[in-house]
Amino acid sequence: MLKYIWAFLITAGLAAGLATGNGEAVSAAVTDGAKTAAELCLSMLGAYALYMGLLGVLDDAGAVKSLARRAAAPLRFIFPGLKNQKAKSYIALNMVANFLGMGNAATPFGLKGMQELQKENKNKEQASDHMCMFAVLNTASVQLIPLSVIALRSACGSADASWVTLPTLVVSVVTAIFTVLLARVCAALGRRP
Amino acid sequence: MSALRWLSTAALPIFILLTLGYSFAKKRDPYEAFTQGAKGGAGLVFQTMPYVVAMVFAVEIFKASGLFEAAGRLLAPVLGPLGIPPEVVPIAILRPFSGGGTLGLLAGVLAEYGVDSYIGRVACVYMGSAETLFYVVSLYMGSVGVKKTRYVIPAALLSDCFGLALSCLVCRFF
Repeated sequence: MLKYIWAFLITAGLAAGLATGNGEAVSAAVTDGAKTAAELCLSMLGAYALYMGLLGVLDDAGAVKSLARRAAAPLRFIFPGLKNQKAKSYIALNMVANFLGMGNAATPFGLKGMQELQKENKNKEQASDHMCMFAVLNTASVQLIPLSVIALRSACGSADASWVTLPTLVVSVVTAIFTVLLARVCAALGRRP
Repeated sequence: MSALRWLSTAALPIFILLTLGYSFAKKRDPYEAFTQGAKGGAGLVFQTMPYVVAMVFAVEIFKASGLFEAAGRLLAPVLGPLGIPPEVVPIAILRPFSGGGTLGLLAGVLAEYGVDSYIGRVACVYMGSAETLFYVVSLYMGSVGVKKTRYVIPAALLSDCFGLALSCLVCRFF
């Protein structure tokens, strides 16, 4: 799926750019895009090392295991049949970090969780149901405070910039519940003979 | 509300203090554990970099070609009857691809239609409750070398549409 979308973005973008006389802008985007991506990765290097370091401290002190035990009940519904304790704690850490708006922390936790889920996966080329659920869940961001939107609203002169907090929380929580149910339905459909 | 805002700025310092306190309480060596963990962080960045480059480069081309705007004009008459303001449609189309790009579009919409208007509120609530799903999926799946992502993208896109419709509904009540 991803390969088709990726190829479509490139082909359609390049073709449309050339056809509408935007050729120069599009070719500039080719090199700029790669540069932006590399800069993004370099800027993440420090944050990743920091959060993986803190995660290492927590893991070393046994906090990751105890968090997994505490998160067991809610995670049992979202990831039925998942036995891997480490995966559970990384998933719990990822969700907590997302909720607190620590996006830089959430990603390394999430990638570690993904690695653990991949260990359980029978077909390494194809995502397991747990991996699908985890990825889809990360595309539904439940966030306590949508900081960037609030900052933009107050910069635009809003009478009540932080008004968005509650409606955003309501929408994202309901959407996340919808997402979990949807992923469970997709998994169930996939298991049918 | 100020308590909420305080929590969001204090979350990281509190997290670090608790982490250190927990480690000392368990009589472990946090410095040694931190450096061991941080080693893995650098590896993780280089492992995920190819996927970030692939996705960002494709999205930049598509953005520069002007096709996002064209897709917005095409979809507006379909989404209008569902209560989704056509002014928000370009934001909804760009949102799954680029967070920074969408924030730029959002700033434009807020300046043009007013921050506290219905259009402005819908755009803000949707922006805060959605994610850059193509980036997330390619990063998460790519980092472990999975090639077949099965139903992930259709499901994530459907949730995204659900979130957009719900944003409109919620903004009528709040």
